[in-house]
Amino acid sequence: MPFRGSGATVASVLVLAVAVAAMVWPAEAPAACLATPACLEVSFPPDLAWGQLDPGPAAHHSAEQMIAVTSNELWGLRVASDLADGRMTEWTGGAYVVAAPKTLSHSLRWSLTSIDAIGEPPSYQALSSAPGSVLSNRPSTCPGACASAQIGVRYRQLVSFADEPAGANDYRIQVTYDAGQGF
Amino acid sequence: MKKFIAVLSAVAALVIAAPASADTTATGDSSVTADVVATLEATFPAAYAWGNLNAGVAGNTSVEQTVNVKSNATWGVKTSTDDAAGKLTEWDGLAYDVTPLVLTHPLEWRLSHLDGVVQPTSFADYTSTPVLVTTNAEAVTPDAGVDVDTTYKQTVSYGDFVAGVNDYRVLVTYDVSQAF
Repeated sequence: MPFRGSGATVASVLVLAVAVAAMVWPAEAPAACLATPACLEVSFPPDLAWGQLDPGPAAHHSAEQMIAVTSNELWGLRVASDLADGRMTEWTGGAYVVAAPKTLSHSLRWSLTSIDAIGEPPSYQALSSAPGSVLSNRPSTCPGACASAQIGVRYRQLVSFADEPAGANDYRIQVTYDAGQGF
Repeated sequence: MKKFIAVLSAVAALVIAAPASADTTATGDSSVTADVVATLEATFPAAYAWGNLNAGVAGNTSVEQTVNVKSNATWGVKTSTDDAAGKLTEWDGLAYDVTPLVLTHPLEWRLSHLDGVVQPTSFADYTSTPVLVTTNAEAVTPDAGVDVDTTYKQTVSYGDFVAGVNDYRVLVTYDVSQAF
């Protein structure tokens, strides 16, 4: 049946169509993945405000950071940091301190700790700007109906007595996760 | 009308095709922020049983008493005694005597090593007023901490009686702080 309407009506329909697409498509990503030749949907952990860490021989372990991956092909996950040696560095809240920033003595370390809520034996590795493999060649999460693989990663930070409080600043590092179907 | 239908069809095609445009790689950033708590840990010397001291002007020198400090901010150590004049006083094992014998000379102290380095210091009399053993702004320490070694000196006069079944005693207090 041909659509009939004025110019104003047409405009409304177009806006509505776009709005619906924006709302529904991400929420139905698994179904979309199933229907398309190559599809990858990922949600990443929010920023982590770790609070106050005290120095000593016992390292601090973060809460588990969750990454949800929906893929209809083999997929993998990598992690890297913006700082080459993975050491958290003094941060004003808007930028890293440029002149003589405080830097923690030890690198932030990461480990895969769970897949789909099943614990993995932790094996912590230092973060660096060179991507490290969290998982590779994982099977499709869409064998029939699509579902997300829930990947848990924890961080581990050792603080030395040589690490001074940052005062009004904080220590920060940016962690980047790359999910892909090519690795 | 044909033109309008064509536009609407294009929109519909766009909506349906949206998943196909999904990337096969995805990148996400998550910042991690934290601060470090100002932390101070210290170990103090055990009670020191000095044994029998000889009378004479040379005085008696103790083995070094070590305070180990771990701190991630500037710090200092102070020391004092429970006796105002820093003098060892007759002690029955549980308490000072009511009418005690008191050594003539106060206990003296000096910083003898700091982080293993010999310190060219002189002995000073103890009092109940805390005084700095180190500076009040020693640098942050390594994880093993820094040893602050103090040596005591006690001159015994021929006027000092033997305490018999009792002893002479003074309580030495060390204060370590990041805020002296």
